[in-house]
Amino acid sequence: MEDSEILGLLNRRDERAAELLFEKYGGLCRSIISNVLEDPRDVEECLNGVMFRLWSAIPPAQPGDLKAYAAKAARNEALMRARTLKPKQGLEIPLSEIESTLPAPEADSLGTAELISRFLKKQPPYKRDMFIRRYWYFYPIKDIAGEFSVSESKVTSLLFRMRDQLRTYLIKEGIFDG
Amino acid sequence: MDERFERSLKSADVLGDIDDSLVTEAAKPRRRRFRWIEAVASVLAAVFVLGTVAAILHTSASRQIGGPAGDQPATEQPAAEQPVFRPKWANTSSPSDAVPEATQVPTYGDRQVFYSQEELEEWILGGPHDDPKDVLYGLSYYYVPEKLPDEAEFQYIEADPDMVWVHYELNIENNFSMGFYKDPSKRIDLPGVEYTEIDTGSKDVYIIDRWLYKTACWEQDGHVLELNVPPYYEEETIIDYCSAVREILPAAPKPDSRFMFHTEKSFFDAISGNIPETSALYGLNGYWALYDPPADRDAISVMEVDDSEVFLAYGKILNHSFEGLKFSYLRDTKPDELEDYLHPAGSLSRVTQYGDVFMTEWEYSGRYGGEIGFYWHQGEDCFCISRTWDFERPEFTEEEVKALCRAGFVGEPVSAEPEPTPEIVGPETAGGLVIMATDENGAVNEILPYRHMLWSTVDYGSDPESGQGSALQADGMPLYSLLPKISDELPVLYADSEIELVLPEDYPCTLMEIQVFGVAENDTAETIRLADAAELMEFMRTFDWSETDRLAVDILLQYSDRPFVNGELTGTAKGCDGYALWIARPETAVFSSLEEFDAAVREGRGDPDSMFYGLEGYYTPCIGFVPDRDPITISASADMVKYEYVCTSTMSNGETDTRDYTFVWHRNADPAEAEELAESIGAGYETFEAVRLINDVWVVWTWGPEMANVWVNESGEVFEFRFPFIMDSNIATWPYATWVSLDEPAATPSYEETPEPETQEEVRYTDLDAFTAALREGRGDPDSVYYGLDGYYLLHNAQTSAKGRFKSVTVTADTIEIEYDCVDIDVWDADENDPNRFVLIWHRGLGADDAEALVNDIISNTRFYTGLAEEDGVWMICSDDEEKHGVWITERGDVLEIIAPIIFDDPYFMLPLAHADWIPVE
Repeated sequence: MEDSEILGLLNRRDERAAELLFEKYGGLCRSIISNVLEDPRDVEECLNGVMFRLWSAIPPAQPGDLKAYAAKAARNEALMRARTLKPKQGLEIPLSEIESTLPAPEADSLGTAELISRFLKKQPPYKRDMFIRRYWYFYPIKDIAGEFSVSESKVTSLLFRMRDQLRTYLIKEGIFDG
Repeated sequence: MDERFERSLKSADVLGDIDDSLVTEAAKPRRRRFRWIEAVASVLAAVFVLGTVAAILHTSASRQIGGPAGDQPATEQPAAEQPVFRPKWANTSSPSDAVPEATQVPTYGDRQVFYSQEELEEWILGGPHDDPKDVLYGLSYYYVPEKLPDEAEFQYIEADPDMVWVHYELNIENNFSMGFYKDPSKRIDLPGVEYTEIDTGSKDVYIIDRWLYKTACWEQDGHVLELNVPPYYEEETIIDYCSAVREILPAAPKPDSRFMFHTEKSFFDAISGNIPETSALYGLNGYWALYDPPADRDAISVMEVDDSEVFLAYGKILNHSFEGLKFSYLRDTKPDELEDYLHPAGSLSRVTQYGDVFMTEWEYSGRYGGEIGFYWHQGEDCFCISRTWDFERPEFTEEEVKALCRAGFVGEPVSAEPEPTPEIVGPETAGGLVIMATDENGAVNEILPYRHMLWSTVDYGSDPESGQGSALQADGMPLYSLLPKISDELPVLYADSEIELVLPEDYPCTLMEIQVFGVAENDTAETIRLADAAELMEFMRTFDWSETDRLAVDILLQYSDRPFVNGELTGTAKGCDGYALWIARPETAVFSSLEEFDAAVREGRGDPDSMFYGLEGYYTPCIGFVPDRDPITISASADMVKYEYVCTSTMSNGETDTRDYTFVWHRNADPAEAEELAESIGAGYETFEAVRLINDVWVVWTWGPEMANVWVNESGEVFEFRFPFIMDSNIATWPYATWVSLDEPAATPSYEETPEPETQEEVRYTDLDAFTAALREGRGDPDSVYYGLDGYYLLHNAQTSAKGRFKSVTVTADTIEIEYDCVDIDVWDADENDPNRFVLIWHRGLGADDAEALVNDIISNTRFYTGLAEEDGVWMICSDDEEKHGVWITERGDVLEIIAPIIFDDPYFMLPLAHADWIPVE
């Protein structure tokens, strides 16, 4: 089923849309949430919340990329719930790593995100994907190393250097003073 | 929730707003393995994607099959908005090389049309199309668009003797179609059709304006493809479209390099003919099939053959995807190359072993699903089974795996059954060879080897009543065939035993021969033939046991008058029995803890009969490699001490990770032969690549699952260390062994006894001897920076202790810093701008009580501090900085600090570095 068809059903408030949405992007959302929350029951509850959010948000929202929209909804919902529920063991590591790289959250977050996107687009694809998998999807280092067929040390070193470069880039752009 | 976590979450929220395209791109799975599976999957995917297509066009104006109808040119669709087709190539070969005989080809006008996806699949899977009268005869390839305009709808596929067309309806007035000529030499423009050829300026693509529609025509990999588009399409659009097609279409395979058959029968028929040597089918006089294929499958068997593999699929087509088992005979892979499939370079797939079957598995990242593969060999033939899964990972018991992973050869005559296996004749309860073995302690052990029948002939004599007088023969199996089945049942004889062979009393026989089989369990390449027990003992003592732990021995006894009873018949038999057993390397003692081993060494070192005689101590491996430092076993013999570890650690995701390590101290090895030892270790790895000398260490480089190091220490002792491939270059260049003396350690002066100089002078030397001389000269002078020094520290590590890597020493009243080149940074793929050095700092101005303050000071100066770890008395300041710091207190009470490159980013890597030797200066 094409995304445009699912969007069409959502816009018509056809309940089949929820089923199709779950069928197509439920797995992706669940895997994102599973990287953030520890308890499988929390994961399922959060997943239901994400699906409801999507159902409620479209319309009026008309996402150009439904997959990314669903993934972002899952990530946001999971991080929000991680504040009150038990977060995934080890989640604090990527979180603290990215915290030390980015400016204080009070800064212009949309502007920062745009700069980060610009920075990432300049990176080689495999580096960029490793970075996003680690800090956007919160995959463990081991999984990333396995996926890219490199050693864990290499992933760690590569991410460290990318964070350093990103930090330098953001400082140059005047987003924060380091 | 603590504040820091909240701050972290907010930072993560900021990152959450990055571009959608980055998010979706990163989520795409990366497939890493199983090249043949990928190939097959791509073929199957190409085949089934047809179910999604939906538009049509016309080809032959004269036949008007699906051609643009009506006489009103449509003008609604702006050409610029036309999506680019992305055709996919699909191979549904039946034997494609053969040219149909002229008298048998279907006549012009014959055609076959498929109106539904089901029909199409039936066409794809229901072959073979090897009947020359079949309009599909000789069809090897067809092309289908991968993506279509939203409004396009699949109409039908048409095949005739010349062409194959895929038709789509774009709207009520316009159609698309794509087709190709099965025989390019027959490409002609049909007569009677008015057309105007458009000069595109490029002879790569011809465009013909046929008034009602336009045709683009181009050649691709020996095929001529045509595209028919609505007449309002602009030239540029058509050219762009054709260019896109040309870029995307993969090269067609050579006609004889790969074949696909839809049934096993068609494949078998194909290989039964005369096959040219250039064909991938050459040399196949049958094929391997799964011995017990799954019952739950459709009547399909997709078989693909190329130079390297013969592949069979057993399963069902569900929802346009294949579900089932994929079986492959790896025809150009030898058993010793199987590791390449299990551990391709850089792969981190999990490998589990079920008996002789290896299971590999990996999962998609970003979505559920994965793939499981089983690899095994039968004799010299290697096989693989795999299956993919989407949501629920299939579970296999060991019994299921063993039952599943069996292949049977289907040859002439056709049979699905494998060759029958002769029944093994087991040991008999009465009689038989006995070996009396006296061990090194004088104890006598009775060994009953495994008895198997090699051959026998029974003579019932002349019996007029029964008419039985003929001889019966029972053929047995040679030992090397039996070994894989009975290896665990064979008794073991240690090679340092004194032995006596006691022949059976219940039937007269003579010792015919003693055979010792090769260096591997079932390797018949090197069979030693010996005449008697004395020769066997001589062989056992002189054999080089460095490469194997045990050898298979078959002792052959010949008899001629052995009584034989068969029901009421009696007779005598003559024949030969084999008696099998292992001989193992000279007996080794096994200990389960260091304490146990230490006690044995202390007890035995004064006893000339003990393997520990004369030892004043022993070596242990660098404990830093091994989180759980207690070895599982310690094996000791007169030649070596071997420590085996199984280390389990918990990963950040909560999963446990288990790895094996082995450390061997080769007690009597010649240091000059260390490289040879490394080579011999490498020869034992199926994935061995090379031995490289790095930092005075011979690194046995492999492609997994294990690597090894060999090195010689300052005392000329030879060591071997085997470690998981995953540790690879990080660990390869700094092995380390610690000498454990059995004597009481000599008293060393305490820290308090060392006075401090009063000078603020700083001196630096790049020559260690000059530094030592200056120390010797200045240590008595309170104004000298050397005042009070009676020695100094050098980093113990094998890599850094060599003088060649010493770089400089800088001395102040507070510190002595010794810097070493780290060298060969390429080994760990470090960044060229990273600091490439080790630094050992003796904080001579600090006492043990000050160490914690030093650690805090280092932390405060660490830019990207991530945590403090403490292991085995060493503090490790964890960070993302380019250099890592460790601090420890020596036995003298001195405070030392080590600085290491970024790659030492794990406590287990840092720990082995944190050792320094006290170098006294007399």
